[in-house]
Amino acid sequence: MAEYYAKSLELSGIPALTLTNLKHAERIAFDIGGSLTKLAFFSKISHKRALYTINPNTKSNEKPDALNHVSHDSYVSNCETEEEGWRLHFINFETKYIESCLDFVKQNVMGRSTDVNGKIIKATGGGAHKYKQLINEKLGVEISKEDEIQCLIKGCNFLLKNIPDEAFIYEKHSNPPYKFQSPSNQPLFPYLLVNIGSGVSMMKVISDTEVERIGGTSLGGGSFWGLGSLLTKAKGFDELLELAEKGDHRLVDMLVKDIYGGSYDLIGLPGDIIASSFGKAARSASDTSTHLHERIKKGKLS
Amino acid sequence: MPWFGMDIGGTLAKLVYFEPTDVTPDEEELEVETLRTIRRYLTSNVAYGSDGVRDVHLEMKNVKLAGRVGTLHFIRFPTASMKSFIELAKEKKLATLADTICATGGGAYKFEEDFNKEVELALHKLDELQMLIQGINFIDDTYPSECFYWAHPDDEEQCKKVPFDFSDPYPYLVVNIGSGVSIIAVKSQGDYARVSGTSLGGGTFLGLCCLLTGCNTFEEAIEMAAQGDSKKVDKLVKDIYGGDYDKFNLPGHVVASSFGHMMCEDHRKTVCKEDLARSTLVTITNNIGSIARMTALNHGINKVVFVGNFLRVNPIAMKLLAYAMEYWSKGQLKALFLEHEGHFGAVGCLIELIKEKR
Repeated sequence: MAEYYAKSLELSGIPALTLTNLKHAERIAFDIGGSLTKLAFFSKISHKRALYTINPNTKSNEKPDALNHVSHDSYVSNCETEEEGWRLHFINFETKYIESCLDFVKQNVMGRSTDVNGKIIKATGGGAHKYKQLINEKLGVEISKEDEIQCLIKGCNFLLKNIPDEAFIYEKHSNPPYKFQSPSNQPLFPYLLVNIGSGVSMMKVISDTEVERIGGTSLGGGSFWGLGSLLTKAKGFDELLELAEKGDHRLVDMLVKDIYGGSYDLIGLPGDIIASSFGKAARSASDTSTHLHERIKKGKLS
Repeated sequence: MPWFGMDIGGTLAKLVYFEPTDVTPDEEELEVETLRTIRRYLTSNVAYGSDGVRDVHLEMKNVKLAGRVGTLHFIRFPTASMKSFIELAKEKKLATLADTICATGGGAYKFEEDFNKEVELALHKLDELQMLIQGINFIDDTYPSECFYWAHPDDEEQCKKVPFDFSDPYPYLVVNIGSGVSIIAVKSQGDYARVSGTSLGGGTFLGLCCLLTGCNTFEEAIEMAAQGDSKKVDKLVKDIYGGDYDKFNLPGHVVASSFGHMMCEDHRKTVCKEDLARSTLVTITNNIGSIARMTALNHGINKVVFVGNFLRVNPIAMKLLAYAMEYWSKGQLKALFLEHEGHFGAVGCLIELIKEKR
């Protein structure tokens, strides 16, 4: 996956550089979760845009291709304009640094000439309730906690309906394995939303506003991060993922073939399926191989 | 004779032996030396080699099988010691007495060749789920108070085992917690199917505990778990919300993220091995309970029977399952347990052997 997505910003104590764009934020929203705080904000961004027109000297028999493109030579750069647009930014940091973040917001965002009331700040997540007082003290604003599930589906629905290539399917044996979906005219609802944070909530999304929590599990990202921190020397979530990529879980997990010597045909379980996660770990607990922690990491991700 | 049933699982091999007690003096005189040796070896010991154990408290006396009366003995040893068992069977000349042994579990397939070559015995391989159900039916009909439930599972003082009449069982769900977990829906006599399962089972509990605490056996892991506090390890709803999460009826004491505090170095410093063992036990148990509950709901079944050697000497897990099933289903589901834990597959095989003899 590493080569397919932009690396998230490195945060340790949130260096000020990371939050630079926050200075121009017009709307800020926090989702203060169990392990991570997610910050989303809109800011006005200026960027240059080049305008091109067709070169009057182009050969007249050149036709645009199927995508309505013509060759480079057919265009001349006419002028450049400075444009202002809205940009949506996303930042993650560990919730334990919430105070540093609030200090930054106070100094750099709240302190501007635009009045405090013009600032739109919203918050959701468990922490919006837990840190309500802190936010009030630091920013001088009374935040009422937005319902986290309503925010979740509003956000999901907004992105799914408006952003191209937001949703994708993963097919292990396809090339490329990622197939991106465009917003389509197909009905969006109902869909099952599985929110994998520190813990997991599974929700049936019926409409823009209607949602029902129908299940969940306490074995989520927090469990992977927690167990990974106990079993390996990795310093952080990203390092755990890197380790997991290198590991071979089959040395730690007990597979069907380890029990049956092959597949369990009667009920259609192939030999490679995991029968018991960490099932071999009891015997290899005394294994001092340097690769053990990598193998364990992979075992846990599955 | 001898009459055996074997269930060779991922972690443990279970052996059930029928010792005839209605032996007439004539029969005794004619008894082949080999058979006598085996009988004496099995019944006069409670431990075999370095890790074989006979569960004496589970012994069943006066069992009637194929016109004979006898005692059923329940023996187990780690599958990792299978080689030693094969050596022993060879040494005791088992092949001179029987030409096949009824066996189930993955090991019946995995070790078939070894039995053929070393012990010169053929293994009659039987399906583990079929044997499990067959074994449960036989024992429940034969052993008084085999089936029970826990009354007041969350109250230390009042909690106790209460017998449950399982004579009209259908439909019921069997949750077999061995190295891994299989969930079987039993609709009526002969009508059953594996409907779900999970790889997070007893093997996971033991494996993770060994890695996290340095312990070596299941008993050690359970002992540690009994003394630990999982709340220091797991992140609860109240740790995230500062209280209950009312909108979804999630009270503050519910676990939101298992091991959720362990990403933080400060928290890691305050927990001990016992806490980690407890959290592992609670996590695995609750996950199984959750899947069992959802499966029961999907199939319209309200009796869930938990079996398997994960529950051996493990009242914490049993009570947790009992409590969780009742709590999350608002009293609609009943968690049931059986005294003979993980021995049903082997018993099923013994029954199959008797059927073949007729």
